[in-house]
Amino acid sequence: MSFRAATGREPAWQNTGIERGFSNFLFIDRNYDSSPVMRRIFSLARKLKYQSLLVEKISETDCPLLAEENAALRLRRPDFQRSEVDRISFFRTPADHQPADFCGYVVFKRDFFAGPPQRRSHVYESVLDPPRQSDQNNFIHCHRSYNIKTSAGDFSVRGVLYAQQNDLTFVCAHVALRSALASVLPDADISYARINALVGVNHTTKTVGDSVGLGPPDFETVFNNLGIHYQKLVHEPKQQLLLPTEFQRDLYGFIESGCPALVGFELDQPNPGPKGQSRHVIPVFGHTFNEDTWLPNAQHTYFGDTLSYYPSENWLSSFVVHDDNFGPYFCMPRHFLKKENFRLMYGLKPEPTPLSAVEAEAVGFAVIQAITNQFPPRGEDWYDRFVVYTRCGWLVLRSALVCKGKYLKHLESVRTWNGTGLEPELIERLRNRLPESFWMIEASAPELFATSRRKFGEVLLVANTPLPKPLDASMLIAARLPGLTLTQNNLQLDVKPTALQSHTPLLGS
Amino acid sequence: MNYSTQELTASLQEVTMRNQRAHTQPQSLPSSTLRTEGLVLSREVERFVEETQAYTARTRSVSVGSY
Repeated sequence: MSFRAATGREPAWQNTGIERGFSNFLFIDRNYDSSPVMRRIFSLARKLKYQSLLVEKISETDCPLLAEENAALRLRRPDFQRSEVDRISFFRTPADHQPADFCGYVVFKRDFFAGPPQRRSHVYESVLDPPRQSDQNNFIHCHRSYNIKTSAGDFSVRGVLYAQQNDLTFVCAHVALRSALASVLPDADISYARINALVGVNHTTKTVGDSVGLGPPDFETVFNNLGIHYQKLVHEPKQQLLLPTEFQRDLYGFIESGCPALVGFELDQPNPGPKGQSRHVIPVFGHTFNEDTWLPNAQHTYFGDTLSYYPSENWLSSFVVHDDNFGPYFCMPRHFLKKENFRLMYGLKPEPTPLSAVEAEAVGFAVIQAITNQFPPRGEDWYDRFVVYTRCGWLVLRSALVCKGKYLKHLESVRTWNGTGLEPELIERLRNRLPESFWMIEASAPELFATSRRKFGEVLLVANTPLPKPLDASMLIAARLPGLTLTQNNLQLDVKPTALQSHTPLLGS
Repeated sequence: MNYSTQELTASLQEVTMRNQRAHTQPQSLPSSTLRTEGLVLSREVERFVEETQAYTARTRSVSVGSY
């Protein structure tokens, strides 16, 4: 049983409105060891306009997961004595108000030992509503719903699970894995005991903590045993392994496909230990978007970038991450984490894909170029603009791995400004020919993409088979462009006109 | 305006003027079929994908560091 479902004892309400003089700092200094992570979580609760909180005590007798965690601690540190756990629920309504408006919770665990340090504490887990949503250009595609049973009733919250290491039985790799796996596993969570069992950490002959962590084979053992597909990116300059691409473009590809990723990096320490610079890993699961960013035009025009198109990642402002050292829902500015420090990335995927998002985008661009060569301008304004943007190198491309159901729903809803949709027989043709998932490369123009969130159309590429050699267009499943559709049928492309001759919304906009 | 912007602007002006001419009607696209090899893809993309995939294969079993 999780901490979310455990019966809470000794419920204590506290009104937290600013007008009531409640101080987050004072409350945390007095009750939660001046924890910086708790300050972050409480500041997010403040941002979510919380007006009250409910503190409940959780004991081993009410929570088998707590008993399991403490059993691991006894093995790791024989001087472990006991733990105290508080579950704090946040509400946008005053104490005892009905109905209560729940906005998240945090579980704070304090462990006691006979030897020094006698007291260690950490945030075992927390889920909060994301403080910013898509209307504020924040996009989190892989959050989950969690049910919490409190003495005030049952509530639910939708967010990305955050956790902090205890540096004894689980470290940064465990908590990053937990957040990422919680986004994809059916149970929306995984225990540290399960992770440790998979990688052979028994807390006696094989331990973690005190500068000992998990290595790449451990991550991969966990993924393989849980049936999780992943893509691995490595950059190890000391081993002469230099990543040929920019890792943040690959990272963005996972996030846009609704998949979380783990990003590992090396710290800059003035006095590194005998094993060299320490490393840290964090989960990445969302991004922010700046529709007015100067960067795409400037990079294209002033700074000699020879790209033949604009990757939509150029409009990304920050990645949304958890960092167990600091708390949940931080924004990591694009390009803040330099390639010099980047070392490892695991992007989780719903199925094995021989191509990465960046590779699929490059192939998609080649297909688009070939289509514009085969079908030149023909007097339709938006198709002709599409050709011009392609040929002049001003096209914006956004790639994502999408499933058939989501794409068909999108197609059924797309309309031009004048209300024209795609013909039902063309949608039916795609319904009959699309595989369950595929790469979708959306094509747009800078102003159309960034401001209107619309596009010329998209090309769909096979996701589950390697590229043909030599490269040809056999991986093209379909293309939908202004006034034109192409659908593959046994290496023949059926070319059909459509009355949908203008731009349409981006998927998910 | 630099070359890249000039080229885009001039091309957009060209198709706009052509489409605006009174006697020019959009050519309706007839239904047809086309062999996939009729779409000729850039070799540059093939080389890019080969390079990135070779690196992925080379680093698949690399195990460095502790997190």
